Amino acid sequence: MNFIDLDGYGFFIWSAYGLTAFVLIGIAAQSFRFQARTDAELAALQVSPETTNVESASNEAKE
Amino acid sequence: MLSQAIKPHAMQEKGSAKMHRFANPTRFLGLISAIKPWATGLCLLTFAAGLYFALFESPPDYQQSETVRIMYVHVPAAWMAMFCYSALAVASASALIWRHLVANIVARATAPIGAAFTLLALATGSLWGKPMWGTWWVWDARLTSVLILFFLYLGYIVLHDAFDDTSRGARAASILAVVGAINVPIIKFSVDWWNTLHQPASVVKLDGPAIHMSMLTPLLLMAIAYTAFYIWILAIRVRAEINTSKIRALQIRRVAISDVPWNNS
Repeated sequence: MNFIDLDGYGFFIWSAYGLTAFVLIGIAAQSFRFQARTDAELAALQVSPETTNVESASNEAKE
Repeated sequence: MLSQAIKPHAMQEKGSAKMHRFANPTRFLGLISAIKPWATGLCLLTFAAGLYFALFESPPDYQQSETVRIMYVHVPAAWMAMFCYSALAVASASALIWRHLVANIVARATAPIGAAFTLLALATGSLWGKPMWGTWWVWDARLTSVLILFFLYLGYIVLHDAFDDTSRGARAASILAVVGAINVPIIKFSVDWWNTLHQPASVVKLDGPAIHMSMLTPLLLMAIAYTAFYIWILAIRVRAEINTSKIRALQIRRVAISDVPWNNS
């Protein structure tokens, strides 16, 4: 038995495993970015005092 | 919701029931953050072991030949699609009934993960169906009800963000999630109620699993890996969602302050 060819079903099997890896790594990466972005936004909002300009705070957060 | 996001402890009532302890976002974040490293470790370990058994140790099936290996990524994805939807529906019901901020956050954090598992169940099933059934897709009760599950997830995500007023969006999406829960038993029993091309259950059965240990091992390892993956990613998304609601509350407060005429110099 060839490990790549898998009895002629290699395309279907490796596509299924490849797609699984792609989707799971994709959702994990998106979640990491989501957390990192909101962590930074929140930190920017909490650091600047209450009376600072709203515009500058939200601009900082977007960066 | 606003005051809860800004001052999480302010809402804590003295002597409140223990089960409400984790309804507080900060406490819940503490709990899930403590679980996260264990979930991550378990996920990586069982994935490695599961893949080893799935690709090297387990034999080809006498009927399905090598394509049985697709089952090790397909079946756990389908289980998790159902599990995540059940979590979404229970959390949404809690959000509607008790108006718990945490319930809504868990539901919101679960939806994209569940949608990803459902997409994988459909796609890997299709990749198995082509060589084994001779078709990528068939409109039988099991496949159709899982496709509906995928649309329910998408509907929940879209509806949540469809309103300017976030609490209205949350309410509408929660109602959809709860009503859509009727689809879960339909999916589970579709293979018994209707004459489907999809085969009936062979692992989760009253009289025990009907598959050999050599195939059950990779299947269960992958199922543990997928569950741990869900908890790991859930922890990350819960934190991001709590951040988001805190950010929104802070921004609203700032806008309110800057809108006061004498403060607008």
